[in-house]
Amino acid sequence: MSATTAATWDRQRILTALGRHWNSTAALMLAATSRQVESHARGSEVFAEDGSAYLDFAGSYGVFLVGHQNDAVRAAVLDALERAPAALPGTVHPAAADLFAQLTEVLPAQLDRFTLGCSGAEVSEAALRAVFLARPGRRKVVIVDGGYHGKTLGALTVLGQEEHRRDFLPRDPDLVTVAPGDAAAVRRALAGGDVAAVFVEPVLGGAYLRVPPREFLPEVARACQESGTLLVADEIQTGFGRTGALFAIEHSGVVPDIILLSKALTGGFLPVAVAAMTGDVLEAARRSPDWHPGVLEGTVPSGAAMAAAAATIREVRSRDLPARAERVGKALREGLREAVRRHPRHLVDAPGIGLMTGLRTRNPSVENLISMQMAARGIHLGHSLNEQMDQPVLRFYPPLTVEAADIQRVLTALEESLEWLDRRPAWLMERITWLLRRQYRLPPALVLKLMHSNLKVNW
Amino acid sequence: MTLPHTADHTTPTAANPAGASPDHRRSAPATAGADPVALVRRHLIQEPPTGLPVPVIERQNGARIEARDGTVWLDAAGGGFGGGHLAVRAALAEQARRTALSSRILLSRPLAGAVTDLAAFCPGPLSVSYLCNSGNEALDASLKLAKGTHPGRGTVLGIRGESYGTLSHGQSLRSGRPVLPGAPLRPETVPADAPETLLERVDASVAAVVIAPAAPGRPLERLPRSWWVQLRERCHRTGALLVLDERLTGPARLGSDLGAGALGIFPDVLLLGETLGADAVPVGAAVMTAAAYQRVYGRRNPSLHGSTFGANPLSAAAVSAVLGAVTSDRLAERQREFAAEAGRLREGPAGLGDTVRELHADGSLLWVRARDAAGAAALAGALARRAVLTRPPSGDLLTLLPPLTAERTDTDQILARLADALKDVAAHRTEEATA
Repeated sequence: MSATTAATWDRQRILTALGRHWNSTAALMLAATSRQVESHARGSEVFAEDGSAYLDFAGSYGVFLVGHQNDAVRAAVLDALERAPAALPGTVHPAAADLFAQLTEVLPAQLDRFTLGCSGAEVSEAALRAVFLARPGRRKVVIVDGGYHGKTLGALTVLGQEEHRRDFLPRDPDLVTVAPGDAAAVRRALAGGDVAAVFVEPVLGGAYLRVPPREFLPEVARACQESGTLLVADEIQTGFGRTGALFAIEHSGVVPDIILLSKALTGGFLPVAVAAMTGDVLEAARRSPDWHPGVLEGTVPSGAAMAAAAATIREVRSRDLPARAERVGKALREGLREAVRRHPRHLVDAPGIGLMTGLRTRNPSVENLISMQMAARGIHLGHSLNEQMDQPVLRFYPPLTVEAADIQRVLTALEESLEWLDRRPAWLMERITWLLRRQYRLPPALVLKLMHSNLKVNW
Repeated sequence: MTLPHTADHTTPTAANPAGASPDHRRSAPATAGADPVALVRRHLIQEPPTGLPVPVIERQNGARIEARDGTVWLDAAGGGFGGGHLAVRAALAEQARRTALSSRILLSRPLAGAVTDLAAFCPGPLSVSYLCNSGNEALDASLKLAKGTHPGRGTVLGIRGESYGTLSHGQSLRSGRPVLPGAPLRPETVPADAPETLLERVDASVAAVVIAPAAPGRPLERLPRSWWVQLRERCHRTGALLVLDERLTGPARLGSDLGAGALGIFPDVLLLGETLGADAVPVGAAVMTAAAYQRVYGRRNPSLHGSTFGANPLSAAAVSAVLGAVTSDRLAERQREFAAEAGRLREGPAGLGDTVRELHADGSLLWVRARDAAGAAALAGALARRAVLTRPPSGDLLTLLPPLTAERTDTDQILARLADALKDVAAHRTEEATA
């Protein structure tokens, strides 16, 4: 075994390794779509080893907010790697202090107690523990249908995506699911005074992307306050400018009891996540008979990760990227809405706010085919990987540093892709959806044949 | 929570047109020039301060930590790989300059290398790696795998008081009681001083058994090979997933590549933690048998489990670089040398005296069991006065975990200062008794 094991491998050998030792189905999908080998990335582009370049409008679902290889963030990371990469127990890493200073300057003043983690799911779990401690005796939680707060075993208990949960746990009678944007349903759910918390993404993200009515969050907050229920705002996708405001809660002026942050906070370099809560929540949790030291602690990210996070916030602020998201995003939002008007056979609507945008497709085959057509034109989009949904949203999450010309290029390619789709018969869409819903059960060789891939499944 | 219209520092919704940001943040930086230690203590939710000095890290190299105030500390707290390893640092910097996190739409050469290296490093049929962002998440992933294997089973077994990480199910195992009311798995635990009783608790209601080869307070030889073979056999018979938790013990920590090698069994899942990321890149791995993986995730949507950051190129590069260094630098051998030196602390005319009940080292997993919790705290304090950084004691137990790459001169110093601290505590105890 050697650290340079894979340095000379060809594409087939890489796929074989991924199929045997990582994720066999993901490897099959990569083989089926004949993907090239990733080389490097810069700004809005990702480059393959064969020299091909791709505009990255997938953005790892919001991670690359400041672009790939942002100079300031990279410098902070390399400096930390050189000087002091680790965060050791019993010490303070200066990057932690820097991060906390930045957070206290950008977050609502009340949200000043932090627990750290290395993923959004981890801090979702910390928030869950906090709300159950702070509201003893209340077992219920309200979530939004389609909502996402991570896929660790604890976070699954508040996952609003049944298709990702049902194989692991049964439906919990204490989990109340409301339709997106339905504040009245939240109010009804809280009427009994037995709900510990409402978990909500201020803009419902993922393949369920939906911008709620303006009054939704304030009304939910009001219902929470009247019933003593805690409000947890999951800003893991929306935080740090994606929606055109630094935090999506700013669109309505609501300040939650707990806010969850990750994705963009990494600057595209190293995993990091934060749950910020009010002192009131923390004190209430500490009064619980079930409180014990460490119960709200998470995995402390490395010093290098916290340096990346602090540099990212600084970059977002100094370049006023939220304002840029609103300004530059206008063309993308209008372009996507125009695509819906021109191609209603394939598209339902174009939800969007800032640079958090997408196309709600008529069925999974439309999402899949647009995604493939765009990839053939050198553009990567945020595919839902959710063929069980009726109308998945294909996401467009470019960096907030994206150039207007890149947006125009994407819209032109989208129109070409949709025109290509227009020339396909309706029955084909149904047939492809049928196939997509069974694709993982098909013989791998057949999948590759259907996709005209010359790669092999030898794992 | 603050509502629009109800707080004087938020802008009412009606007056907040789309895109306008209400100025509910501090008007001026409240932290400018603040003391880093005070700032972190003010905001980080953590256990109360121990009263020990807290160095602000300026530079790390192996076990040596240069603090901002000019003091130089020796790290016996991190339990990781250690900063400053030239080859590993160069590999990380090179990958960080290319691509660190990724949208994962293209093939990842570093990932292919890392999972191949892990399969080669781990014993027997352990060949499929779930790469994630921490050892704690890796442990959680193994429990999710167990739940996916046995959706109808609701129990996970562990040893009470041992560390199972910070996620909710891990915390439950440590405390022996659920921390979430709707938790999919309930913990059943046995006392730390009777780990062998775990065996009799394994039955068909158990989804998984999670156990480390050794732990602070539990030497590697505490559970004999025959016990491990029985555990393996009983898990096999009942279908319970056997999860070997090597977040602390692997790689190299116990003086061999993995603790698993000493047990005479192959688990279904083996967990590795932050050491794989050279303490710089958050990473963890659950390495499982192909059979265990395929039962739950085979021919399923690949997004059924996973995370945004997991399996990213930078973490993959770290895994390969660290495993390469473990072999090329013979780090396991270095930990065995440490254990041999640590054992000499028990020698001499006075032995350990009456200040401690037990001192044990499996490789560089060194722990001291004091007479009581106050004694452990006193020892931690005496070490801090000698600029040795340790984790906060757990009851009467103090653990020392120097980085794998610590230089011999530094580990010798850690042990010398420990010997000195033990004498100091003993002398203080004698003084108190006399008084």
